[in-house]
Amino acid sequence: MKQSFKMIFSLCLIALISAVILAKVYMITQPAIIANEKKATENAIYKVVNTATSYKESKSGQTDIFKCYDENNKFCGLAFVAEGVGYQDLIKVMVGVSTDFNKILAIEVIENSETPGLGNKIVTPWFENQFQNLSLQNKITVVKVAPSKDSEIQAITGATISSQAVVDIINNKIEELKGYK
Amino acid sequence: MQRTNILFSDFIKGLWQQNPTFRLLIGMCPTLAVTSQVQNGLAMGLATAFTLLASSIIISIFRNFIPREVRIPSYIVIIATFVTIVSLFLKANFPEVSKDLGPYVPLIIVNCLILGRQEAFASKNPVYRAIADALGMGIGFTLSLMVLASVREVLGMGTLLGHQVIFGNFRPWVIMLTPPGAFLTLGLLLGLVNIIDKAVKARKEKK
Amino acid sequence: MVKELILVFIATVLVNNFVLKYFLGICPFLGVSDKLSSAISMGFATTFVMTITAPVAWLINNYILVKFNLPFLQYVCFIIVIASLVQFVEMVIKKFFPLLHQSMGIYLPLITTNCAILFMTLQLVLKDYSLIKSMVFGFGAGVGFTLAITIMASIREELKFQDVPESLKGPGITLIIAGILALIFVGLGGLIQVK
Repeated sequence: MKQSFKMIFSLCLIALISAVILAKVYMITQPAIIANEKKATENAIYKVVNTATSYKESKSGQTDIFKCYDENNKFCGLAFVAEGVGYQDLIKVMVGVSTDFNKILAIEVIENSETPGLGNKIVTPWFENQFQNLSLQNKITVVKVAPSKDSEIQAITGATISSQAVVDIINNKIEELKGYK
Repeated sequence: MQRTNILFSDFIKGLWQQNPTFRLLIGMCPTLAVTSQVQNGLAMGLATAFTLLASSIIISIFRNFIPREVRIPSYIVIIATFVTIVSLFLKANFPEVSKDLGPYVPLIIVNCLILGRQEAFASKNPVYRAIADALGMGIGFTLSLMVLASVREVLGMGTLLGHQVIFGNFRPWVIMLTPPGAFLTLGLLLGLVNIIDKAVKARKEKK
Repeated sequence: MVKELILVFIATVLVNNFVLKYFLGICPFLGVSDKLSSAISMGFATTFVMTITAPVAWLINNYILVKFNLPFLQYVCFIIVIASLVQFVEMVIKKFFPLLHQSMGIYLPLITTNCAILFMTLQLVLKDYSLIKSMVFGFGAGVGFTLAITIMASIREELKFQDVPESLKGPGITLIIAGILALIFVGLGGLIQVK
């Protein structure tokens, strides 16, 4: 009896000390972690709407939409996160569009775990820059040769599925948000 | 003098004789998973080494207070506490590294290297020896990860720590970055280590 | 609903195989795969523990950790859950199924440090699975592990009669075979895409 009491007591003591220490560390690190996340989002927004100097958060259904304003406080574009499944796992893309949803300003892939060396080339400037000033009159399509229309994207060699996935994710999200004012 | 010798041998054995990766074959999951780039290998190695060192110190200090019957759960809770601290620290100060290592940071808890050293060494020896042992094993583990990661990064991307090291008409072997490449490289490196070890032993016997 | 669960199951077993894609459970994969019978026992024991760990971890996460806002205790809680469940399963099997305990018994304590289980519990939180989906995910992860370790053991039984280079004997050649197996599973990538 005394034996098992000692066992339970020491286990509880260890767990209690551990919980107290972790709570303390969590409280110390939490502000920095939140700041990091916010900064990452902010950087992505300012990258995809490059004239923006400030933004306001609003919502459309489940999606956070960032309304961007330039230095004269003029409404200059919208940014939002589109996500979906790629070849391997989740892909998250920050998309910037013009105020009237007529064209894409720029995109940035903020999260992916595609195959290194092939699929994860979706984060290269070569791929991302293709989206700049892309017309949204028609759906974006993926082609394997140099694009001939202003709504076409050239796929990455050896990673057609990943390229297609990014385009689909963006298309779906834009379809969903198109009515948003 | 005696004491320094013991400390030195406690430390040095982790680097080659009992190297966790190549000789003891423990802690294989992170070894294979994060070594597609040297930077990630280094970060994972250091995170593991820190956890090993910290939990060895604590467990060695309290080795006489922890009841034998519940030692394994106690060790696991102590290790998990330090891993959570490491994880929060990385998230707060090195968000990029934390993102790259992703789900493999919490898996340090179940890295058999750490639990194994507590059971085999820290719970039976005084603090100064536990520190030497943990440092040796931690550094040995980090170095092995970096060796494996260097091979994979150089062949898979032609870079080392992000700097281009292979020039000219080299086409990167993309397979080195994927799971099959990890298994193949480690398998061949193990063979190489065995050959070297044999040669060293043969030379010693000659003398 | 049922279709989605089947997709999650197949994706976890084949496309996202824990051993050959995420490098989880490598220690038992290398250590217990020299005999087919022990590999199968290990696989069953792991599958069993995973299937019950998944819902328990889900309940603890949603009804304790999220409710009281204690995300920093996640790792500690999950590893305690796994360790106690393994202990509990061992006691139950020993008491009620002594025969099963003889073949599975020695593998059970090893399961606590199988990183596949901790990874599985963390993933189901990260992916925000429902309770039933979590169970299917846990079961699928276990089946995937069993599949990989069984294939490996079957190959290694044949390997005993082969002339393997001296320095590659044991873990070396096992890892190289694992590499070739992983290559096959890479071919299954993109077969099914689930969140």
